Amino acid sequence: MTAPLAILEELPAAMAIPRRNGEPVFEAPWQATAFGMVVSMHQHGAFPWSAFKTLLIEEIAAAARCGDPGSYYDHWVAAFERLLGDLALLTPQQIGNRTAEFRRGDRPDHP
Amino acid sequence: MSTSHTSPNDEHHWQPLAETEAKVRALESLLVEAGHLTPADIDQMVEEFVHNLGPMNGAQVIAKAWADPQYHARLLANASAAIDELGFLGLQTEVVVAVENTPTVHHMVVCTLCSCYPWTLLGIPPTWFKDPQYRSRSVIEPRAVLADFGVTLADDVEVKVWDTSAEVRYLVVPQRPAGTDGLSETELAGLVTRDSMLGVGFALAPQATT
Repeated sequence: MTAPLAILEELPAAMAIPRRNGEPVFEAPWQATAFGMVVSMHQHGAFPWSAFKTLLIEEIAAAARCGDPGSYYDHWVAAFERLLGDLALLTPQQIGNRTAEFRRGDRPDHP
Repeated sequence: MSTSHTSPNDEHHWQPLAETEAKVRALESLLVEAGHLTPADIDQMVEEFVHNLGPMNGAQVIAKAWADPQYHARLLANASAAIDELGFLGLQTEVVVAVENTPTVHHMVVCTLCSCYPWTLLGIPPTWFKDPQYRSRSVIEPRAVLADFGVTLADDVEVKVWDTSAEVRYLVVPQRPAGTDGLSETELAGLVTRDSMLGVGFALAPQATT
């Protein structure tokens, strides 16, 4: 198992997670949750880090081409969503339906 | 016994979620349901990376309030400003109200609707804080919940339950333990536990020295 920090160092500098004094910086709890989900599933062997990294780099590059750099964790989440689809762990429809429920407030709750 | 509660039923702090935040909640709930993750996995991973958030910050605030009467007054009058003096405003900790435990009033904190929590002061919310049981029982039978945490109070102590909202976080100032007169702020901070700042514990007694 790779040490968690080491896998983050593998990200190209321009695509590294936001940090302050070497520590990851989260602007909201959901960003920390997004971070924790990806790193934790990788640590449990769900996917090789390179699979996530490739998608993250694509997401960031695609957003830059659109002229909308967007926020780092938006790209992080988009990459994770694609990865889960690629791995056939969740379907886009499952994700879409559940997301709509949270947006409507049908599930104001944490899981 | 008397129990008051700030806002048991209104949905004052539900706000429509931004798209990405809703998606993260969706992914988290689906992955947990499917057994790919547990909430504890996620918290543990975040804790492994983030060391600048945590109850040691809140403990410093409390210790300073115990040691410095003027800071104590500022903390109770305007906790956000007093906490900002020490540099601990930030993530999920923008507006804070300090509530002080006394021999006659005991405060405890819950977020009935979700798990709003002052991250910079107390770190990552513990799993039990997000547990629906804790969130509902704290309002219905706070004394029973406190007893589960090992906090038993005399019948004439009033229990006040504070429901955190998206706008306001609460910080409980625990009672200063007896026998701590000669201690420094740093030593005092060592007695302040996370649970004591949520009102589900007491500050620790100083090590008996002979």
